[in-house]
Amino acid sequence: MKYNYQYILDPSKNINYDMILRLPDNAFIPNDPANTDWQAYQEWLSQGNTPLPPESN
Amino acid sequence: MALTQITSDVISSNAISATMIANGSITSAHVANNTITSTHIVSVSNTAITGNIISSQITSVANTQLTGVINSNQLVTSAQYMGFKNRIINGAMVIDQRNAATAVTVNNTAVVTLDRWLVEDGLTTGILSAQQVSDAPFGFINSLKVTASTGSGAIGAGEYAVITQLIEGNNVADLAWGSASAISVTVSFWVKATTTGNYSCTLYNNGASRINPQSYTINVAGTWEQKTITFTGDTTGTWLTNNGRGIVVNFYIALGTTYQSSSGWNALSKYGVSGTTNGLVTTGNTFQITGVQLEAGTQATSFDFRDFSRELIMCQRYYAKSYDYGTIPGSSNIGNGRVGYYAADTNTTCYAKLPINMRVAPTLTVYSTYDGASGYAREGGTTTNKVVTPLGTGETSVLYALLGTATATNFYYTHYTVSAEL
Repeated sequence: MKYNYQYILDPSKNINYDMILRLPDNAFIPNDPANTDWQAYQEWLSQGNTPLPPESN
Repeated sequence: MALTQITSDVISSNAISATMIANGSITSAHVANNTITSTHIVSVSNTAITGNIISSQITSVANTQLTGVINSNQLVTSAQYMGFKNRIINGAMVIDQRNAATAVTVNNTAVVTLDRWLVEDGLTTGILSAQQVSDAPFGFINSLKVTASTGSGAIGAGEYAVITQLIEGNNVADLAWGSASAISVTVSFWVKATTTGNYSCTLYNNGASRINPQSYTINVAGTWEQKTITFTGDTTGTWLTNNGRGIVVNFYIALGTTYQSSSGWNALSKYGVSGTTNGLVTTGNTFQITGVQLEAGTQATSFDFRDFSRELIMCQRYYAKSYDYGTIPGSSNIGNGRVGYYAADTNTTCYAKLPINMRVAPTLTVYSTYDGASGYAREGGTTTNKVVTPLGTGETSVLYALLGTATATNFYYTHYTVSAEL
């Protein structure tokens, strides 16, 4: 499955850099270096990709 | 004159035979310590000895001289047969939290099918279907079945299809791989396939800098066969002993020549032995496996059956859900086990305690109980979904919220899955 990613906002309306939303399955991935989904996201970033901007809450 | 004592020097050798001594007439009280040595004993029947014999009193025992049951407290140095013997989780293929025995398609990707079992399709043409089925050898009730829903035909040098289990380093730390004390392991499993021939079973480390492919043969098509392979413990390389990938166990169903070589440890991306069979050439070809065990030592022992709840808990360290066991995540109108929360105003948060400590902070997916849509909560009493915002996940709990979108005094309902796969 080809994934895309999107930033999410925290309660203060700031980008929450400790989580990322994976599309299209809407999975929330935490910033944990040992989480293999986070590792896949980091690899996606290293390929020059950029997450979509967050939806406003 | 009555005789009070007969000493050995007045009795000729072999003058007294066993038939001249009444049963029970000589007891241990008549025999001084250390006067009977092994050279005086020809044989002892199984029932002739009572009491304890300690290990220092046994010089050697041939394998055929012991019968009966040996209890665990009579063993000192057989630790590999006790406790967490099988390092494979869900080796009997009984746990299927994600799919409840429905088939999943695997097409140019890797998919966790049954719990802890990954099926990966690196085929150009072939498309796979993976499923828990009830066809299994005697003593088992389930197997993992991979079917070529589209046959691969002849494969290219770089193509492959594989069934994998990633074993957490914490669960193989005692094997001491990467050191001079490395312990050999034995992998045993039952397998059944459409296509006979030589296949590869392979172990490797995190990063695949140490790889050991071994060959086994499926002799008869469509018949369950048990296979046993012993792998020499690797004395070099880096083998994780933490919550990362400790040992990767692969069963190749197809493997191109790029990855083939001779058996044994290598660092050259050789994942299979030369001549590994392509078991997926024709549409409808199948490959099934169950009863997978990886244990310390050079002998395969009986399968380490664990009760269902224990096996499930072990799986939940890597994947868990709020749904009932047999409900597929994302199903609609599922009320059982739902996670509800109350909105005092337009904001509301939901906390869920996870069943056990997960391997790492998990990836969280929240589902509406109304239609199973991911990323949403159902507004109680309506068919309306509201967007969920995560606030954090940890090894023991998750926290998510409705921020500014809730209706005060209403309830909201969700289900969730959490994944911390290796």
